[in-house]
Amino acid sequence: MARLTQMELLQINELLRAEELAWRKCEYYGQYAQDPQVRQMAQQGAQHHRQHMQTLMSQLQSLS
Amino acid sequence: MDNQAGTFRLTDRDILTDLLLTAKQLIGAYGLAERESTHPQLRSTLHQLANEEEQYHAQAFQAMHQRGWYETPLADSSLAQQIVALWSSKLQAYGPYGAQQTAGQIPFAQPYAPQYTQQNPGYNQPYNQP
Repeated sequence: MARLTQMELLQINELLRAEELAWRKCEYYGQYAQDPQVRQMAQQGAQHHRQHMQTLMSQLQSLS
Repeated sequence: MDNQAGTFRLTDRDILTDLLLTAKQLIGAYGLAERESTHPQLRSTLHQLANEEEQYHAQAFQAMHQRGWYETPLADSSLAQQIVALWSSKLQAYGPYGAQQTAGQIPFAQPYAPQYTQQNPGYNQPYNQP
């Protein structure tokens, strides 16, 4: 069974931190922006950052 | 006074800028993680996530560009011509089979013609010197 290296673990942790902050900012911007198109971009962003967090989590779980 | 307490607001332009910069930062972070990774399956996941991030980055860029919030000035045409001339003559000199044939005869000791460097000093030199 393949296991993560220390470097991989730390990199994934770093990515999760970045995706989490990006997601939270997008959630906020999605309610805050004036222009509906900007709002929509932020909402899309929130969705995809959230998906990325889930993908990273499942990689983390399958390799540890 | 934008930054006094209570009156500070992020504009839509600020928001798009942050979406763009965040995407840019994540693309870099995914690239680094991919290069540091040993598992083929993890590498390809990271690659795919970076690709998605790149698509989002392109959308955010377009949104800014359409609104005139991200200018993309054209290249200096005389510099472009010089660079094209430099590399086409280098490649011609090397020939189709690599550098072996012409080793020791690489043209252009200096990358750019001297008159250009005079007209356009480098970043460190102020433009309006007497």
